[in-house]
Amino acid sequence: MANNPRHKFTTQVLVIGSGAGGAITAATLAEAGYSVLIAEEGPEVDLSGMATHTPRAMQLLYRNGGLSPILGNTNIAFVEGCCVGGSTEINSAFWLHTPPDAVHRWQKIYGVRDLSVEALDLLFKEIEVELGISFLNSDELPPSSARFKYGAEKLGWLIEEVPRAQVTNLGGSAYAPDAKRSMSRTYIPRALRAGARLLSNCHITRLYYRRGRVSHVSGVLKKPTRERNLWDRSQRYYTSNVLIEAEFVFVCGGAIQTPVLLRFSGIKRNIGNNLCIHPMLKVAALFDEPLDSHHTALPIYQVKEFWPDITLGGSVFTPGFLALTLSENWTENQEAMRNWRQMALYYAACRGSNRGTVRVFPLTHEAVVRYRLSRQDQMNLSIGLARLGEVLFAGGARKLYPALQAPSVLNSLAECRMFLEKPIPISAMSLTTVHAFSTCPMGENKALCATDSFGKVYGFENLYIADASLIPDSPGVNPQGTIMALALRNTRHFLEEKGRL
Amino acid sequence: MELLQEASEWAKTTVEVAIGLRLIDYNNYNLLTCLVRALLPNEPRLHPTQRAKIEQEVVDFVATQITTMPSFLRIPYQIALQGFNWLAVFRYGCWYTRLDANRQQRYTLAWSNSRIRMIRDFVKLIRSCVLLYYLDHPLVTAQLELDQVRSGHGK
Repeated sequence: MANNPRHKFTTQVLVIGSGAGGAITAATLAEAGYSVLIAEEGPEVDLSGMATHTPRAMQLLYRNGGLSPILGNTNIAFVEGCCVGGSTEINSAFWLHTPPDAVHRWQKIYGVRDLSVEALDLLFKEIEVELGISFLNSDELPPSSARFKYGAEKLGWLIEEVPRAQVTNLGGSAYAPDAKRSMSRTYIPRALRAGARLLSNCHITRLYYRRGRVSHVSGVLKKPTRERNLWDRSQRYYTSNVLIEAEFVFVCGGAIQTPVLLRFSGIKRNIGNNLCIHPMLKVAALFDEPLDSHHTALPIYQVKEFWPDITLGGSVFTPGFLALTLSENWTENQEAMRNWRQMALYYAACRGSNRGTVRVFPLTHEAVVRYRLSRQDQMNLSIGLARLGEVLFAGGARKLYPALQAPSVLNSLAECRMFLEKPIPISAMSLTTVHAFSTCPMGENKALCATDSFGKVYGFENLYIADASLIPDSPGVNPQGTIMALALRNTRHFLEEKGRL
Repeated sequence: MELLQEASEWAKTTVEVAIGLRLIDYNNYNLLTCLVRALLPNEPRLHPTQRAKIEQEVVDFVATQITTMPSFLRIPYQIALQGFNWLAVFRYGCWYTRLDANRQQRYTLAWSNSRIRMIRDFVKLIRSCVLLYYLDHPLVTAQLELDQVRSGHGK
């Protein structure tokens, strides 16, 4: 029991987290007539007029200010949102359907029942209307994407435009205010219109249960004070204890925070053991003509020739992000900044073949995330960099600056192809990832899964999960669509069970 | 969106969380100021007053980033900051914060090129924050664009 809770709430359904999974779950349940309370750890931020990739936005919207490392044989920088709307507020809003082979694999290995590609596609279509999924107008094609597309077509490789959750024609930048149809602009307002309550700055830290039934949860509410921190002038907070009683609890904190909450509460069976990620290696490319990537929309093409193991694409560009990519060898590479208008950022990502873990750090209850890059990952990233080099040189690039300790610059196709034979040492890679999932896989295979095929945690009658952690293993594509489609499917199943649908 | 009524009674039974493990003294802040100054790119050239103002913002940004790190990384990092300051005594006979700008830069460069990955990573984290904040600052980006036009680059 929480000690002397200052605030006490009672609700039929508690949804913990307001990201892609939490928002759609809350909206669906509220519209079905349930009394819903959404508890979100992060703040509610007015995003109108705010670019979500600026340093200021990182401090406001990202967990740990964007500094959340995945520890392993090389550290991987992982970013996730911590605000109302979760990571949908900070991601690129790419929208991709769950690949059929992934669905079949989940049925076969994890025993997920009543899941079909056709049924998922119907759910996708329903969500797409709400999110305004659309393609970019061809006359708005950013020069960096045009060079990338030209290179891939010259090589005869399969390249696809990725649709985004966005309202088009709102200015040059994909980050133009209100352009993106994130959760704070779509399903959260929908849930609130249907009567749901939103509690931001509320960090749920523990679930209390008895005989397979969660009775209540405890946490802390934070409120900014007028004071600033002495040392760094950052915001100070007051906190007070909160206790929430609920008939049903849906944990939607994402692939990292959901296992942290469950494990800290003593629920550990198949929780936090199966972390999958998509490691990503970034490359800065120098072209002859100015691209002015900082003024144009986010690159929207992906090379699918080597998918599902390897995906190549373009990345968001600002002078600061360019410098980050060059910073691995800053002394040698800083001269390249003089040509920043002629540069663009790209990436090679692979479907991680290993499995990582999420654990709770004693005392502070923080997530300790571990993932060891496997030999297969190392090969795929090396091949990915070689293939990316081929596309970019075919597209007219003069030089490439990979986020590697060495070599700091690639001047020719031959230098890129070297990585096909000699993989890059793992310790030389500077990697990032924005995709993490599978820490509480769903399915009927109880040896592997934490929940049943519809997200109900094994051994509990009123505890559910609805976020990226449910996805049984790596889908090989941006997971937002899969998270939302599965959350909608599972919530509808819950309503059916309760006779509310 | 709805704000709950209960939130109005905050101040009565609250506990400060910013203190405790997150508290760092002014000595570290001075050290960070020197470190940021050594890592700040020379270009684009800004008016000294403008640069000093942005430099202060960068220091605040870096300091905030360090305090928001998970504690199991933040505490070793803060210890490493002290180590960085003190090890300068063995090399130059005085603390890093008391060195002249030239020596500060040389010492920082030596750390960033170290053979030991952990030492390199120590500087890399601060450098990444410095570069990101500085070069994405609207005034700096505007100056970068202006410089490109003046030099005829990328026309």
